[in-house]
Parts: sequence; C-alpha cells; structure tokens
Amino acid sequence: MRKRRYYPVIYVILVLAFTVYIFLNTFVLQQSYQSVEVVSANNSSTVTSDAVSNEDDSEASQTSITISTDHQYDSDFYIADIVLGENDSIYTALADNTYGSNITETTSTIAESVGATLAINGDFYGVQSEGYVIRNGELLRSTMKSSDQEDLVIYEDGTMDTIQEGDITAEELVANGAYNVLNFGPGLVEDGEISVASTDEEDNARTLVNPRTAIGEISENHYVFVVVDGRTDASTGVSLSELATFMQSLGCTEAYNLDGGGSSTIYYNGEVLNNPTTNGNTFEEREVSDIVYIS
Amino acid sequence: MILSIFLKKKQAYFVVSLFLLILGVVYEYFSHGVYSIYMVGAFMIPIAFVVISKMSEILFRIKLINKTAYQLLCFTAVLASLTQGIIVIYGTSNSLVDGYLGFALVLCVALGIEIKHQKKMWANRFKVI
Repeated sequence: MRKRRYYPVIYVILVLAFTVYIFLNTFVLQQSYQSVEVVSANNSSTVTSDAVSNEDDSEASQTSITISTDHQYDSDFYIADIVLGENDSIYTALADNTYGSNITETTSTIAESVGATLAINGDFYGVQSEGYVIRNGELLRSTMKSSDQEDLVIYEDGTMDTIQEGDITAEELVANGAYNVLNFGPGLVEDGEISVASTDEEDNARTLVNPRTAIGEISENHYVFVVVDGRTDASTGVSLSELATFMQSLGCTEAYNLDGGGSSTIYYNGEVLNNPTTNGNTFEEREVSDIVYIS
Repeated sequence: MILSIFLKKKQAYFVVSLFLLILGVVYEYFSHGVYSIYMVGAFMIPIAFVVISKMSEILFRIKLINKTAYQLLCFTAVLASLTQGIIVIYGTSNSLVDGYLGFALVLCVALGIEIKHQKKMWANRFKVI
C-alpha cells in the first residue's frame, strides 16, 4: 500500500526536476564550447582603426560608412551604406569572444569590446542547437538544421551568397573559402531578384510585420546594413517581403534576413541608433550571441 | 496524493483543460507575435485523455481515468507540451524535451501493470463468488 501511495509523488518530483533542468539548460546555464580569436582593427594587420570614416571624412580614409534613415511601410529604417577599403572586410564577433550556449551580451557591448565602428546584431546562433556556424574562417558548428535552411555565406573576398544547408556541408563551405556563415534567413534577394513570397514569415511568427535586421551586397566591396524598428505605433515593423523589396530598391544583388524582433539593433560610433524593443513598451537592447561589424 | 484524487474525476480534467486554455491565451498574448501549437493546444490534452478513457471503457471495460499511471501520463503530456511551447516561443530548441518520451514509456509500462493487476483482482473476486 505504502509503495503505491508514494510512487506518484516521487514520479511528480522527478518529472518536475527534469523540467526545471530543461529550463536551466535552455535559458540559464552557460556552456562554453570554444574561445574564439577577436578579429578586429586592434589585432589584425589588414585592418586599421583609422581606415573607417563617416561622410564628412570620406576622402581621408579607405572605408566609408554613410548612415541614413528612411520611413516606409509605417516603419523607421536605419541604413548604413558601406564601401569597404581595399584591406577591410566584414567581420563577426561573438559575445564574450566565446562560442557556446546562453553566452550573450548586448550588440553595443560586443561592438565596443572588438572596437567596432558599425555593428548590427547577427543570427543569434546560440538559441539554436543546429545550423552551420562559421565565423572569421573558423568552423564552429557543422550540424545541419534542415536541408532547406538558407544560410548567408560571406567569402574571404567579401562576396555574398545564399545557400541551402542540404546542398553543401559546412566543411565544404570552409574549403570553398567561406569566411562567415550566418544562419537565420531567409534570403531576401538573390541575384538581384526578390526570393521571398509576400506571405513568408519566420516559423511560428503570428504577425507578418516585425522589427528586422538585414545585410546586403550591392556590388564589390559595397554593402548595406539595414535595421527596421517595430512593434510601436510610430514604427510597426515590416514583413519579409517588404524588407526584400526595400533591399532590392537599395540595389542589393544579395540580401539576407538576420535575427529580428527585440534583437534588431544598429550601433554606430559608440551609439545605438535605433529603438530596440521586444514588447513595444520598453526600449532596451536585447543580449544576443553575436554581431556583424565593420571595424 | 492531491493530484491523484483530483484527477480521478472527469470534471477535474475539464477544469485543468480550461486553466490551460486561459494560460495558453494569456501566454500567447505576451509572446510578442510568436505562437506555438504546443502552448495553444495544451488544453486539448486533458480532453483527449478523457475521450480515450471513455473509449477504453466502452470497448474494453477499462476505466483508465481511475488509474494512477494514466493520470500521471496526462500530467506528463501537459508538462511536456507547455515546456516545448515555451521553448518554441522563445525561438529556440532543446533535444532534452525528448526525455519526456522516456517518462511516458515508463508510465505506459506502469499502466499496463496496473491494468493487469486489476484484472487479476477481478478474476480472483469472481472465483471467490
């Protein structure tokens, strides 16, 4: 009798403890898999800190960054037009310079730590356990998320391409010269053509319009970072289709959607330019796994 | 055990179901435009367990709803669904959630033993009569 009375209690305690562990594992416990080297102006011979300028100083340097804003689709757009100098590149950095799960920092904190002039949030690889992660030439995760998962590949020469993970392995991408692979998506513009349908949205998203972050290539060494505010009356956010149309209008031949929602942040010269918000009421930067930046 | 006594009544499953429906709606409201069928649909689980129990009663004359393992199975299914829902809404995944299947498997075995044990008791009772 006694055994029967207590086994349900023991079971419930066990299953609740298991549930608590799942939540700790998912949201709290930090797991560092690998430390990564910071690639920036401070320790790279190919990039110098004075190689970056704004509009007022474009002639004195190699890389120029032009920041502008726009209001379309009832939303505020922040556009960084980047023309890279000969020896410059698009870099990525991880929170705490560590590849792992639940290791996060705000975009501005990561940007400051690597001496970035311009930065946007990356793909938040840390919330996924699958999907290719290649950063600054280093293969960090080679497990496929799904065969139709679209990744953005940035090659060593700066050219961008959108691939599907089912078509190529992470190892093959590294062998082909992939310098950074961002794993969010979908691809917005491919070969100059819009590659998303008007009803496309991220998995499980209930609304089509959201804050967004996108990256695009216009021509050789000419790129754009775009961040759109959302979830407020002043700026509702945009659909993937609207974002793709906007990226195409900027002249992008390749454009890719990065992590959006409350993660969407653009940082320039020590300041966050946009209004990052998760709920539309409070405005604060979300802590993310990684950034894309110009040094 | 409170849960066990509570879940022996069919009405209790509907109360739990209603609670899960409200929880799902409230959680979805604050989930910043992200939904999960595991969260929204969690309220269907207790109803499904009542229906299965009723079918079992009609077809096999086994009242599953009275079985402790069956109640715990329902509890586990609800917990797994809510956990997966929260994880999906956050935009992540965790393979540990599959561990609930292990718990469910153990409970299915326990349920089988419970049913067998009860049949034996009934058989012995008829023998005495």
